[in-house]
Amino acid sequence: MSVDRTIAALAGVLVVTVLAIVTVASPFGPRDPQPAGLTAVRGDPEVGRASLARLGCTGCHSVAGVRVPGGRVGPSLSDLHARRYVVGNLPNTPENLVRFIVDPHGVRPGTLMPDLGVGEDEAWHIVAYLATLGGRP
Amino acid sequence: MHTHPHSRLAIIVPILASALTACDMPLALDPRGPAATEIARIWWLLFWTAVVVSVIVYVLLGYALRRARTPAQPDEVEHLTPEASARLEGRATGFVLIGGGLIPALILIVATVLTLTGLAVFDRPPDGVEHTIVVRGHMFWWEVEYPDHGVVTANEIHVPVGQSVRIELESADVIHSFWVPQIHGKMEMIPGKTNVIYMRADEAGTYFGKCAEFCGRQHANMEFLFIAEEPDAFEAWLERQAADASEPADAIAERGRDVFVASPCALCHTIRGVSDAAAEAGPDLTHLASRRTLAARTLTNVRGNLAGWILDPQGVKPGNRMPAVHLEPDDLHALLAYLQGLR
Repeated sequence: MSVDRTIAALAGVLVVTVLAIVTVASPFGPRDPQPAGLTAVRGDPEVGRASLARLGCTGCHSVAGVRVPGGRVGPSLSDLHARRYVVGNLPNTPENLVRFIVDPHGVRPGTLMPDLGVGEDEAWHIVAYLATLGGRP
Repeated sequence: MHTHPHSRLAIIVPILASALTACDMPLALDPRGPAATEIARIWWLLFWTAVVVSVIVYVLLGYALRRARTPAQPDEVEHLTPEASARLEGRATGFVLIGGGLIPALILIVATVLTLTGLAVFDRPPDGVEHTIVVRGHMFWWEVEYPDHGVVTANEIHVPVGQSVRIELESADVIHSFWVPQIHGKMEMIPGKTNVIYMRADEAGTYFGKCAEFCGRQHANMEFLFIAEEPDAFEAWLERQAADASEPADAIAERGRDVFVASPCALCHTIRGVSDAAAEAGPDLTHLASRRTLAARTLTNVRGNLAGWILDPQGVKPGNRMPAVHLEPDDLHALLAYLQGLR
């Protein structure tokens, strides 16, 4: 019994030490919360997440953190934050995404993406949520 | 290595506790209609009986294990007279016969009688049944017909609250099972046979229903809504559902209607007043926009989901019977506008 305890204690100390080294001193430390791509987004990510589900975005797009089904008609939005261009040839800026969500046919005539009647504020919330996905492993 | 029993308990108890608090009461034990109430009553009776029996059995088992561990004193056994030994043996035999045979038999007989009399109540047609609803199981959705009113819809059953309705259960393909846990027990839907149940919801509300017999790849997503509403609201719903499809509201929706008729959609789906009523492979879409969900309660009925479902049904529910339909973007948008106007 006491041997078990000793081993358990040693293992605990080892785990804590490794965690401490990894978080404090290693290159795997805290990441840049919003890496290249989407940055400085106004809007409430949690509201945006609810909107993605409510509007049925997931009918065509898979989005990390939003309930199944993750559609495969449009591109996955889970790594949207890391893309350089969106909607074909638009630089991946929050402004361009908001414009496209609000008025898909005006921005890209002939797109398959339906106009879901999203207002500008709601679009900002959605983009804010998609931007947070960059902070996830 | 020796593990102390208490350390095992220390692991098991929190797991059980969290499992119990994490899940809500099963729907079947939260009844909202007479049949489900009767089922829940029988269920609790059997549950508590089982609890009492288990406690007695485990106490006796523990007692026996303890006795077996303490070595018998030699003089205790050797000094028994043959008469005393026979008396002890007789007592043991009687205990086994009564505890292991008679009492379980009595419990089973009582449980059987209670279950059969409880079930018999469901089979008697209640008084004042006004509405008959035919529900037909398909892989993997529910066709819902009100034959006296010429209404056909899907995946959504509306009933007046507080009134018994007659439900005729059929199957278009394989065996399904119709189950609204808070209202009634399960009932099989068997090809070539009509099973009848009478359902009554005593409280207005939207109840969850699902297929309870494995029927294929999308069995788990074969669900529906059972909606009990005030009689006025129900009659209004029935009247709207009986009407032909709404006319397109604008030029885009009108184009959408043309897309529907010209596309493969119309080969499987009916829109009354617009397309062939013989297209019965898929749900009737005459009042699609009035329904709350799509694809047998898999998706909420909003434009985004409708688009995803039309373009890639096999992505949403692999193995369902709806093929992907290729549509040009403008045709898709027109079709969405039209379908969303079918209130």
